[in-house]
Amino acid sequence: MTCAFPCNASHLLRACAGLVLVFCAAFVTPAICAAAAQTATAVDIKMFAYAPKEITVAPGTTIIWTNHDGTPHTVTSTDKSFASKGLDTDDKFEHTFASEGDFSYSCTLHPFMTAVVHVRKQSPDVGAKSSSLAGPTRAAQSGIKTNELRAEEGSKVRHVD
Amino acid sequence: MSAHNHDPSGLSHNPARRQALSCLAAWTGSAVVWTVAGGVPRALGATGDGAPAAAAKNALTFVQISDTHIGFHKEANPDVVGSLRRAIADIYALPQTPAFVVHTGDVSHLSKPEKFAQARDLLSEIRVDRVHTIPGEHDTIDEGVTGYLKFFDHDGKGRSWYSFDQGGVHFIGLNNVLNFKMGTLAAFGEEQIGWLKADLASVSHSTPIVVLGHIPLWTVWEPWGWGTADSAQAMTLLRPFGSVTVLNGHIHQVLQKVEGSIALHTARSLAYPLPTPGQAGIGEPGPVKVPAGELGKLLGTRRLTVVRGQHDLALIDKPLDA
Repeated sequence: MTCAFPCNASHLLRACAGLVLVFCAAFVTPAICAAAAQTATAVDIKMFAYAPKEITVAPGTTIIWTNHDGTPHTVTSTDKSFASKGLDTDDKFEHTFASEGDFSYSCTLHPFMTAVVHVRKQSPDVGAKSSSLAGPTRAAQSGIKTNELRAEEGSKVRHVD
Repeated sequence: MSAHNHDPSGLSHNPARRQALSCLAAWTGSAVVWTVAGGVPRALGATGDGAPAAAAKNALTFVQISDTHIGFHKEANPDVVGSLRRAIADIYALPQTPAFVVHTGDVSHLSKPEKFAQARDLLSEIRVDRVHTIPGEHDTIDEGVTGYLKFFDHDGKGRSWYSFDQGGVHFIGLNNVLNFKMGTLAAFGEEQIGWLKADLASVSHSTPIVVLGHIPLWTVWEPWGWGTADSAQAMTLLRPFGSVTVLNGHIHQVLQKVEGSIALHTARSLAYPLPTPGQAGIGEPGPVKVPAGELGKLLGTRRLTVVRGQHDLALIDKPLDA
């Protein structure tokens, strides 16, 4: 892409009516793509608790639980969609969450150990809010400079740093 | 020591018992009574000074063990089989062979079939007619009570609760690890409560009753799940009886509570100690490691004797090491 004006972020440009700004979000989507491609997440079982107790993942994510306690625990969902065998110390259990939803689970030996997995599709919008995404909601916050734009010849573009 | 009545049901028939217990009641009300201080604890309700009394003729004596956790193999106790064998030796050393042994649950640690088999073999080393077991939550991990019942079905009925009569006493084994639900205490469930009601209907109110349940039938500490959600229903069914002794396990320490004619006792484990709720620095009920040589003082067995004419069973709690 070529710019009609020098694409230098330090220049202060003026905008006027009729201007078409094309904001290239190419630098943002790699972050989203990376998050969607993230296929495994760890949850620790320690001190009679699941850590993190609440987690949000994209469909297709696999969660791997590891028991770090000296006591056995289980990972047993309330809706019976997943249930581990008894997990002794250092035993692991994994489950892949195919569909969206909220999945609460607990330990069958210690029913007061409770936790939940939220499964949400990730929106490609920059403004998408998700605890598992590192994508910026504003490009400026990430420190990435966004200078690619198109403007009609003769128009003025206002660039705000 | 005041003689005011702490038995609102008015069903305590034995004034001597009420006098003995009113001291405790004045001290604790219906709260938990600690009877273990170190060394051999005073037996609650025993005659005299708590020394092992020679059992009278025709007295029924049996032993309670609990929480053997066969399969556990960590620092808190690397040899749970050895601990059980020491308990068996203690049972042999009793002045009078007990009529039978009861095991109040967590026979195994991880519900593994080979450990159930090993536990059954070990328990058969005890030279008594029968070892009556009930399941704990460590016995019902992978496939509910099915795996446990393959080795410990009490009467061939494919059910984990039962009753039997011996020596004029009605014994009831209950399962309160069947209805674990997220975020709540375990429960007996409607089917079992219904069975209990029908079972008690044919027992006279003067027959002494002994109830076995793994998790305590009173709420010892709810944040750790140390209680039974629908125990009030069971207690209501038991209240009309003149002498009821509830024997529990699960918490790996001795705590006792008296409610009218119902006396509840939890037991030591034969595997490892657990912390006391509120114990400084310990927020979860995980196995407690103790210095070498101290473990045997925290594991133990209990001998119980039913004496004709007395509403309370005589209890002697004995640690493996004095």
